[in-house]
Amino acid sequence: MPLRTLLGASIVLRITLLFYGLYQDATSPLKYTDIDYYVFTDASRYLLSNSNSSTPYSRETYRYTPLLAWLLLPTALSPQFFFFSFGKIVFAAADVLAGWLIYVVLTNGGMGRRRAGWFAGIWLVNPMVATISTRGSSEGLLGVLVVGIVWAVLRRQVLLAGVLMGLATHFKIYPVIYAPAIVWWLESVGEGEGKGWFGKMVGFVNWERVVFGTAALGTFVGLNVWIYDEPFLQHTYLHHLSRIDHRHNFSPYNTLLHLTSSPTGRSDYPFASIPFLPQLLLSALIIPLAFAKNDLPATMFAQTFAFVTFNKVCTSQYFMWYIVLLPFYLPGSVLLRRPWVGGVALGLWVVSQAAWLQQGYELEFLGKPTFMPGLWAASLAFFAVNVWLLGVIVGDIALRGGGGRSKVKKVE
Amino acid sequence: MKQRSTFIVSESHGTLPENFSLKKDSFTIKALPPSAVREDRVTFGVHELPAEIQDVLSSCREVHLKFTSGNIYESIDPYSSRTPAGLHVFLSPEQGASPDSICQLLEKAFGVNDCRNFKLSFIGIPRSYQFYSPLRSASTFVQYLQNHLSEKDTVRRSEVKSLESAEYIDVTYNGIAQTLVLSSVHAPNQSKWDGSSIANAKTSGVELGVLGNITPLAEEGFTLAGFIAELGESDDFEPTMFSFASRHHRSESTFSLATALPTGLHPKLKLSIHGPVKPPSGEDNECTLNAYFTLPVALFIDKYQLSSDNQQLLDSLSIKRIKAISGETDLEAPVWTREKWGSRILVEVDTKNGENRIELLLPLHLRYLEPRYNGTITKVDFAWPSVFWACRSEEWKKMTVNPFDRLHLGWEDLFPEQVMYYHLTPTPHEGSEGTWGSINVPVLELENAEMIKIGTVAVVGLGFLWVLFKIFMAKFGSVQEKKELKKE
Repeated sequence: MPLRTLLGASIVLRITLLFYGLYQDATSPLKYTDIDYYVFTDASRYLLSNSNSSTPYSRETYRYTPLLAWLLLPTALSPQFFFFSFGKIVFAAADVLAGWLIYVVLTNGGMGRRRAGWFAGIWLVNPMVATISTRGSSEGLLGVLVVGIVWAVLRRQVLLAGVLMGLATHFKIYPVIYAPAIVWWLESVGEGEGKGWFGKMVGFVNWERVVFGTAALGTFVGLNVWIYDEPFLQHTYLHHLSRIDHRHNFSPYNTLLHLTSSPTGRSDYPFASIPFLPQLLLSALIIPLAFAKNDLPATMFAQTFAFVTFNKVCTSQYFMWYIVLLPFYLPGSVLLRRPWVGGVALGLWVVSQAAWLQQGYELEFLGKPTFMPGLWAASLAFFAVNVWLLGVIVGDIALRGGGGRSKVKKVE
Repeated sequence: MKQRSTFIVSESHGTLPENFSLKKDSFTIKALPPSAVREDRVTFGVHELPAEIQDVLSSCREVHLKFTSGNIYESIDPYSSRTPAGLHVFLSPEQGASPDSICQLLEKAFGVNDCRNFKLSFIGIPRSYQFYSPLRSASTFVQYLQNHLSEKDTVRRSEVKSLESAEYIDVTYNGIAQTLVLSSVHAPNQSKWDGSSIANAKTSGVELGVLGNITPLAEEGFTLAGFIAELGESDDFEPTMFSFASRHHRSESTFSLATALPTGLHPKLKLSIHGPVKPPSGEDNECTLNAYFTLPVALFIDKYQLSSDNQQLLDSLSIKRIKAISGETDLEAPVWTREKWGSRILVEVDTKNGENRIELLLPLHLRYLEPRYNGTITKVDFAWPSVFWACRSEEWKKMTVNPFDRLHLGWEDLFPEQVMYYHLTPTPHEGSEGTWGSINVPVLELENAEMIKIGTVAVVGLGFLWVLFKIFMAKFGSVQEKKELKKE
């Protein structure tokens, strides 16, 4: 698909949804706009209010960096009918930018323009992606930051990559898992040949790794120190350690945590912290070390997929985190080489999710006690599908590249 | 100790002296129309109370308890005010004091077991603290009072026993006056008083009144006529007539509450108001129609969802605005992380959509309840709201001299002082249990605990091992296999 048509279509799609959203919000008691968007815009309003004591965290359930509330400051201006959608436009624009960067990365990697267009289209004209950002969810911002990191690293703009890395991690903690993959990938020519273990260790510390690491850590720490403030740390980071996540969601741990966080189901085993172990081992250590040098962007996709699959909480917005990286894995993957594998994978992913949604609907709206076995079994089945798929994906990435960046042609 | 008993009868013949016999130390009812309302008001000096009560009161400035049984009844002026069913406690501590033993006392006296201690369980409201429990019966309270009476005191024991059938019981402690007033109101047709008598104990004075409402001499007030007597003072009825301004009035409209089905985890309460939906005081239009809810902690409203920014939604629900919410309003936490009893909510009803009928919908959300044994469904009980018109009144200064005035119903701090209330009467609907509602809530069964733990750990563990195995095979699997795969 030609880039111009693709971008045009993606923009038209988003503008249409944006206006449809305005129409639905104005006419129906059921809002198109996402609840989180009201949280962001309320937070921005608190920033504008004159009272000294009001911070974005004066708004209950605001769990984001104050930067987001600052970014959305115009949404608090009047007239509201004009300014209120500003944030949605920013998110949708970030979406489109992310899609364009996907296209650029793919063509830089040597893919034909038409083919690159088709794969970038997975993100750009994906109705789910466009809906989520025009409803006012901020995932598009993360998307553009993450693809930006990929683009910058592959262009060997390690300083920029480091800054984006720090910024993305500041926004949401999860992109930190990409750091080990990128550091591992940034090897020098001839690294690891001979020299003994001490020599290898010294050889590991090269200029690009130092720049990337310093820039990432510096940006992250700098931002946090700059806006250091108790509520910020509590709401943006610490909340995720202490949260109970008892309400039903796709995570396989959901029912277990619902049970063990309550006084009647309390357990001596630290079920609330054990889940971090397999999740971080896979997504932040084993997968990056095993595959980053084969294919960095595809490895990042696998990491994110593992992170979301093994996460303590999982909603459909989390799928955006890996869908944005899917175009880097999909070309030439076994899912396309053997269409029946791809078809079965997609089918199982959709069917197991639908089964869960059906059980969730019965609980949420009909009040049926589907906690056991319905929701529990459905979330485990969805997990099983994801884990099988992850196994297929890692087996696939192992076949790629065949070497580290030093052996790959320098990217112009 | 002093006692005042008042009978308000609607039929004019009810106040005739022949229906009663008055002796020096006792008053006996020969015949009383069944439409009579009875109020008993007993005033104690603090020193007359048991030590455990004195102990709690010593750290309080004011305490107001309101218990309403939740039976449906017709009210008669001047006893027209209503609170939601259950036990409401309003407490203002002395400066710097924390009446922590209040919860033990409430448990002992009322059988309330959801009060942990003052700081944890009471919610702060302007100038006071509030606790609420969906208590359905006063029988524990009656037992508690009887434990303080001697076995021989049969007259008092039966008077106390009659509290079980009271529509509402108020207990009011005033730290400045050092008095505690226990009052109760029995609605018409609930108890037959014929043949019962009120006696004068040596230590107390008893005032009696048998009165009927006659055409009020002044607007916004009542005029009562009948007779009064004071036991021990004389054995003659003293005819009387007096008028007073009243804060509380009856409204001729009625209401009922139901839950929209299916309830799910986001139940909607459906408040139906029947009868003339217009302000009761004719020319003066400064009136609002309100519903006051006390919701148990398992239920909450989302103040952001129902904020005035969401006019479309409010219009579709017939809500003019949510005037106040206090208490447990967290939007996501499960019941077991919450310590307070719940929240109080004042909703202003949008009256522009109906002249004879309004249906208001209040969208609620359920917290997750603790997993439990025996069953996957549990019931959450809640009380119907108090529904009333609040109208501006010029007579407000005179209201406090009303001998039947009733204050601290829970919402007064949300209105200016210059307000009169017109209370709507709850009416039953099919399947309703007085003014109590309940919602079925799905819960996780504890019988499944082991299966959940073992099953989840097994599946996640196997999944983890499977991925590790695939990674291992991909990295270190046979070169041959790789080559084969690559050929494809």
